[in-house]
Order: sequence, then structure tokens, then C-alpha cells
Amino acid sequence: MNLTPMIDMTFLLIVFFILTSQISNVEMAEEIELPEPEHSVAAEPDEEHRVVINLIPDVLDKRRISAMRLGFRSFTPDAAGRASLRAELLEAVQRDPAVKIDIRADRQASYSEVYPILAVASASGARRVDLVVAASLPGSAAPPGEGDGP
Amino acid sequence: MTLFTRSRSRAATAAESEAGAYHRPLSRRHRAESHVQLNLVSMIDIVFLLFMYFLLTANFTLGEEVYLIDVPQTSAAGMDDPFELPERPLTIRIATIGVGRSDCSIRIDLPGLAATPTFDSLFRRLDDHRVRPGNPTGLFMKDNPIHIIPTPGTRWEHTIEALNACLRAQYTAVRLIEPGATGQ
Repeated sequence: MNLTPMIDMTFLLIVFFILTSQISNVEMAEEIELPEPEHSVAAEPDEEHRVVINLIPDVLDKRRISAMRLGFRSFTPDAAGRASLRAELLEAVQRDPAVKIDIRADRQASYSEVYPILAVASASGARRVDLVVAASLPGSAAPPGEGDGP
Repeated sequence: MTLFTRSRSRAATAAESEAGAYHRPLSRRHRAESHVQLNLVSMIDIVFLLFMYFLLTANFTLGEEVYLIDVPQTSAAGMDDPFELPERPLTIRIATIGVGRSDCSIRIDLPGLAATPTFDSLFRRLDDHRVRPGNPTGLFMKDNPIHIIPTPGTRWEHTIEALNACLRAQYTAVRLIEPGATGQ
């Protein structure tokens, strides 16, 4: 039996699964069901210089937020957690002044739960705060001319 | 001696004829047997490497869009025109009143506009009252500030729908205000 190609394949598969699991955890929390506005005029996301905050909904009550996730770090949605998140965001802005903050929140989350995090993101000095929504289905987007300025 | 020489000569001839066989063109039968074989192992290695390359360079946020919210810079506050009159923001209040997607109360704080049943009608009203050439009912410039004030229990999807209606009507200064604020 030729072991060399088998070891090659095994390592490739390991790397593949490690990378894909990390990406799915960092960028896209699967627990979050994004809002899908009708006739959306939202823009395509800019992949560069961005920091993603995932607001993880509570398993039992999706109106509540159980954690705020920034990359691999997780914060509690209380005052202490928000202060830590703010410190992280300030550091990110210092590292890259062109950084944008993307906020991903569940469609059922209460506004009172999301707003404090919006305030933290706004106060971080980031150039822009983006609210992430699900892409509109073909045919449900706003007609051309709407939302793109007169 | 002569015999030896003859036999050696035969042996040499036989050897030469065998050696010559390698230089002769292959017969049709031989050519059919010698086909090219692919090395599958290296090919699969390369295929996986290409697969990983495309996987890593792919756009993982396909299926997502964003609303761009410009954060007001505090340093720019001093650069405002001191003679500019403050514009009264147009306030939109929303509240979730049920579990359905359209179960939301929408109210514009302006006499005559008041309640709107859906986000689509909110868009129509905002669009109808935007100042633009050929619109006699225009009340608001496109940069007129709009404040969206959801109640604390308003679902995020309804907040986003209200924001979308304002942006869809081409207003540019839309802000989300803290939940339950009294407004200006």
C-alpha cells in the first residue's frame, strides 16, 4: 500500500475542514436568521476592512440576545460585555482606521436588545456601521431607480 | 578453427538480429498495447488544491446585503454652517403588534400623514412628499433628517423594513433613535 498519497489526502481534508469550520464560525453565525426586507435597496457588502459582530439569539426566546460574538471572542450582552466589546472595537479602529462594522442580528430580536450594540459600534469611531440583511430574492428587490438617489 | 569462426559468425548474426529488433518500428499489435496511462494520485492532489484555492477565495457572504449607515463624526460638528437653520426631523414611530411579518403599527408624526398600514404605503407616502421637479406635493428635501423610533419590543425585521422604506424613497439622512424616545 502506498501511504504517501493517502497521508497527502488526509492532511488536505483536515486543513479543509479546519478552515471551513473557522470561517463559518467567525463570519456567519448560523443561528442568526437575518431580516429579509421586501423591495430591498440594500447594497452589496464590501469584504475589505470589515469587522463582523454577530448578535447570537437566545435559544428559548429569540427576542433576547444571549451573546455578542466578534471573531472568536464572545461577550455577554450586559454593560460589562458591551464595555469589553467597545474596547475591542476601539482597538480594531486604531489598527485600521478604514474599518467598517457589520452588525448581524436575528430578525426576531427586540430593538431594545440591538440598539445598545448599535450605540457601542457608533461610539467606536468606525467610519461606517452596516446592518446586514439577507439578500433579496430575484424579483423582490426594489425596481431600478428606487433608493439610488435622484 | 573454421568451424569455430562459422559458429561465432552465426552467434554474432543472431545477436545482431535481436539487437536490430529494438530499432525496428513497433508492429500494430505492439502499438495497441502501449497506451498512455494517467497518474490519478497526483491528479487528485491537484484537484483538491484547486478546490481549496477556490474555496478560500470565494465570497462567503453571498446571500447577504447591507444597509450603509454613516456614523456622524464628532470632529465635523464644529464645521457646520452657523447660519443654517436646524431642520425638524420627520419622525416615524413603529411598534410590533403581532407575530406576523406585517403585524406592525407605523405612524408618521406629521398631521395629515399619521398612520400608514404597511411599509409599502410608508414608502409611497415618503416618496410622494419628497421634493423633486414636477412634484407639487413635495414637502421634504431628500436630505431632510428622518428619525425612526421603534418601541423597545419592536422586532428587528420591522426596524429594518422601516429603514428600507425610507432609503427606498431616496432619503439620505435616516437615523435609528433609541427605543421609545419621545422624539423632537
